[in-house]
Amino acid sequence: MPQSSVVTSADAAHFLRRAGFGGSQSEISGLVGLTRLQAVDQVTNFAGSPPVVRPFTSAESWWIAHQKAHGWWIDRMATTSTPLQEKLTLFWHSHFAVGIKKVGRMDVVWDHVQMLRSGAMGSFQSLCQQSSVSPAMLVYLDNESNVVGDEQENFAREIMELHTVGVGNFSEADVVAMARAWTGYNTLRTHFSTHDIAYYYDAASHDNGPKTLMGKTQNWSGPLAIDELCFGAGRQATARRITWKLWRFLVHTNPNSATIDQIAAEFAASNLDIETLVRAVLLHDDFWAGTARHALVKGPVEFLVDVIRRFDLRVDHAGNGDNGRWLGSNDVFYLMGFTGQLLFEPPNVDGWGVGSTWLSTATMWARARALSSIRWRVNQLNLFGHPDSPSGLRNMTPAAGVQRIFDQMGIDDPSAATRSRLEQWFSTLQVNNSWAIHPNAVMVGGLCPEFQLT
Amino acid sequence: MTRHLPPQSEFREAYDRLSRPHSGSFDLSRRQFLAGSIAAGGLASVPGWIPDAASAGVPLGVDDTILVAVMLGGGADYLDTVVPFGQAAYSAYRGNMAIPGSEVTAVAEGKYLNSRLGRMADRFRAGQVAIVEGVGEATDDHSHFTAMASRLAGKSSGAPNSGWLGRWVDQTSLDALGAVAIGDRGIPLHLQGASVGATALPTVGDLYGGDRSLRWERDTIDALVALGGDTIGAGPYGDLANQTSGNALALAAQIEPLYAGATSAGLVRDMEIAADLINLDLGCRVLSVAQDGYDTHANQGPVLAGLYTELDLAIETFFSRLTPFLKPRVTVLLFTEFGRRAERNGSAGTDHGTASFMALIGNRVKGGFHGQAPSLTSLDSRRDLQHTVDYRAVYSSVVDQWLGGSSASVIGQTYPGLDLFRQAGPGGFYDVESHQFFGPAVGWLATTGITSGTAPGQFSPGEFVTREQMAVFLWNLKGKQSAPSFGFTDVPTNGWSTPAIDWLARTGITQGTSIGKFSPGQVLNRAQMATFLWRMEGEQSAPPSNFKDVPRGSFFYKAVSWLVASGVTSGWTVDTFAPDRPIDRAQMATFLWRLQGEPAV
Repeated sequence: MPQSSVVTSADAAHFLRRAGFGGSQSEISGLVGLTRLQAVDQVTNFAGSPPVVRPFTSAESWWIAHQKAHGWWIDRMATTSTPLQEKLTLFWHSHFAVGIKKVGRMDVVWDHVQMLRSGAMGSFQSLCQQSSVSPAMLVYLDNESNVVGDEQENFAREIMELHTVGVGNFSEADVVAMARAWTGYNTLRTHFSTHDIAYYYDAASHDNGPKTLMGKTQNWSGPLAIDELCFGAGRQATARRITWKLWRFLVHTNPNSATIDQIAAEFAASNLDIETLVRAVLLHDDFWAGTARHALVKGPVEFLVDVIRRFDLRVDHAGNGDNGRWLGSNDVFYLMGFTGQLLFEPPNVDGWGVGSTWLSTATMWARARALSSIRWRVNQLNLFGHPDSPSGLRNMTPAAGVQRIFDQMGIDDPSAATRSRLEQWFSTLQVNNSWAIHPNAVMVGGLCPEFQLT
Repeated sequence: MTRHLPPQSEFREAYDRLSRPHSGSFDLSRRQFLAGSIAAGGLASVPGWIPDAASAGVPLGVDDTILVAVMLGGGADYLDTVVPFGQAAYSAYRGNMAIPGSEVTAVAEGKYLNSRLGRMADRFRAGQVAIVEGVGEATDDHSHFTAMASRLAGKSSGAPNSGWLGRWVDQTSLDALGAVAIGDRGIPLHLQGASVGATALPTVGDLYGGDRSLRWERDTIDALVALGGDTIGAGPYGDLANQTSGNALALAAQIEPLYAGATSAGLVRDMEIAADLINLDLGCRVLSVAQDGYDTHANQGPVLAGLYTELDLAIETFFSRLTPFLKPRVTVLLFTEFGRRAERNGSAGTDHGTASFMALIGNRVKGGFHGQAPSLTSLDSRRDLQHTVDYRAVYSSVVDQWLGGSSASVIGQTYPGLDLFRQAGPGGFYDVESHQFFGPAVGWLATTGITSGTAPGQFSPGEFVTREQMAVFLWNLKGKQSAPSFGFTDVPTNGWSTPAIDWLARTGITQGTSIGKFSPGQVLNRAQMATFLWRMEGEQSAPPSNFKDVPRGSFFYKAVSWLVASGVTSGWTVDTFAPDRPIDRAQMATFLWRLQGEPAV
């Protein structure tokens, strides 16, 4: 029975990379010997989730608030006891994408993401309903200006194309009908443009006429239309699309069609219960198979969180810490700006991509820039041991030193090529500039290909 | 209860939302790496200040063209760019905001440009600027976001999830350096494709890998670059990650000096970086640069004056930095998301409108006005200028006539073609036309392989001929015979022209300019040319010529006489030959052609 298979150390490392942001040696040891089912039970239990405390005030400008919220979330991802919750929140943030630059109010974007966090393992239909009337979404996809007689199709299109059934499962006529169904679900702004955006249903602006949506003619409301997409005509397509997308996020980018069909059927039968879906993915044999190992590219956020965890660093979001183990949230924000993944600011309505999306010249420059900044902190804190101690990294043999770097970075399966190159590098520096081994271990450990993968 | 509609999202937000911050998928298939690149000559074409790192780009093919898209963000006002100076309706709509005659410059009959675009006006008069008037689209809704999404996406339907230039790159075999966005706002939508991706070049350098001055840093960078050439075989992305990382660090050493070379600020700096990047010849074919600030709701006159002053300088700086070899293959496209309202608003500005302009600048554009100027006397129901050209028609022409490819698949629909680029003339040269006196001669010269031009597609008829070029022309003409080295001290032993100069000297056509010297870079004058040709053709005697500036007893007297008698020249004027005048490439082509009896092509 696969679910009763016993988790090995390599299994645990893989599992913790995907169901979170990578495991420490003790976290890995903690799972070894459990069954897969027990391991999955453990990571899907969010009971111990630390409290969420908003790190900014409404008085702060949105860009300062954005920096703080960004730092707070990175820090939470790195330190939480329930990393799967954050990983899924990141997934839903990309799926029900909203961005601060268009919305202009960090508090409503924050509330949107917090809603996604609370519902990350709940009902998909409920998440979709809540997202659709979230003030951030109403602004981001312009439904706040969707009124009868002057319909705005932006949200109507995206809720079908991106949030639920996907391309090929709706017609242009459905977009028109959906836009009409969503008329009147607007916002109330008590001050001009930037203040206090609230959801407001303006009955007078709603189109109460009959509309034909997915073949059914009735007086569709917005929520009824979502029910149709989740539980009615759209159920199978939605289930399959979400399953496929989550698989590509958690497992690998080339899913087996039969596997997706099988899990999607379970998901559909559960009335789109996300916990059912997540458990089915994590318990699937394909998830544990060799083909899934190191088969994904870490996104920039996963990359940074992993680096931070590997060295026990923290991100300060109160605005007063940039020393010792604490990185300033403004610095982290600056560095992440180059990588292509700023939290609360997805690139477009389709969120962030996966896989090769994250492999470009510019993103590698950005990763190197981030590591180059962090290496001096690592050096200062002697995180590779004191340079004068016999156990300090630079005093080891090249073989032992490189293994030490792999262990520190959580690289459990390095290629022979990488090992050999790094040993050559280690020897070279040992001869000429042995002091430089400590800071630059961060560069070679963080830029080697193994560390880009998850 | 009044509903508060959202304010228009302003330009910057719209652009930011349409930009993907510094990422992109990446196709390594064509990227040559390390030794492979060096062997293929990847380093041969980059300037000498490039440090000793590997080249990570693939140089352009000789027919490859380059487009630099400059976005005038915010909605540039057409009427204050191509100013309808003198039209009553313009003065009526703009009142005291109307640009006065002292601030416009005439470029064509009844056509005026904002005088802040003075250098561009000069280029226009030289036939190097095509201005398309009345550019817009049927569905303009006055929203920056909608209009920009549309202008950047460049397709007629569907969500704006890719851009027209990105889709064009998808059809090529370019790698991630094929499309480069310069600026700190990532990869704008128009460069985003489905598969290949683009590179965002930050405006500030300090790239890791760029500073190789310290040994320990260099040792670490070298280790990572070398690792990038290995195969690690982990998962579907392991090797791609490895190569990408190695490439990026190697490339940083090439890119970093661009930042030191860019000495200006703002748009001028971005255009300096763009030009220098093109000169590196790393395979960049599409570049994106943006200038913000055209959303002139208030104080339009001074704001636009500042912007156009900067733009004018930036374009001039850009072209002046390009290497002559690549310059003719570069076209700059100016575009904006929409034009502005005909009627001024209450704060000396203009609000969002519809129709505007696009401009193409470069050696090969078909200079002049295209499209149709929107009428000021027949505004649409919203009192906006009515567009006469769909913006996608401009893009279609750029794809079909400039970049090369299929506009139907890039734009998703065909649009009535605009004729925005010149056709190649005789010999495949864009700067030679068949009706010019030297047209047939140049055509013949190219067909016989005597010239291949000064750059791909460029003959440079007005450039003076150097002695070295003349040697090569004559050597080519006579069949490239090999000759023993002559040993001029100012001719390199293995220069491109050395075999020709050796042949010229060995056959007695030249004795050099002084003992042991050929002066290869010296411009040839008409007297020297006459002498070369005369000696080459066997120093035949001829009836004496009668030019007052060709004295009997001068070293070129017999040569000039023979040249006249054989019908190659009839002199500069009736009684002068102008022996000291330098000879340009057009005249030289004509002389050689006549010498051969005006062969037809």
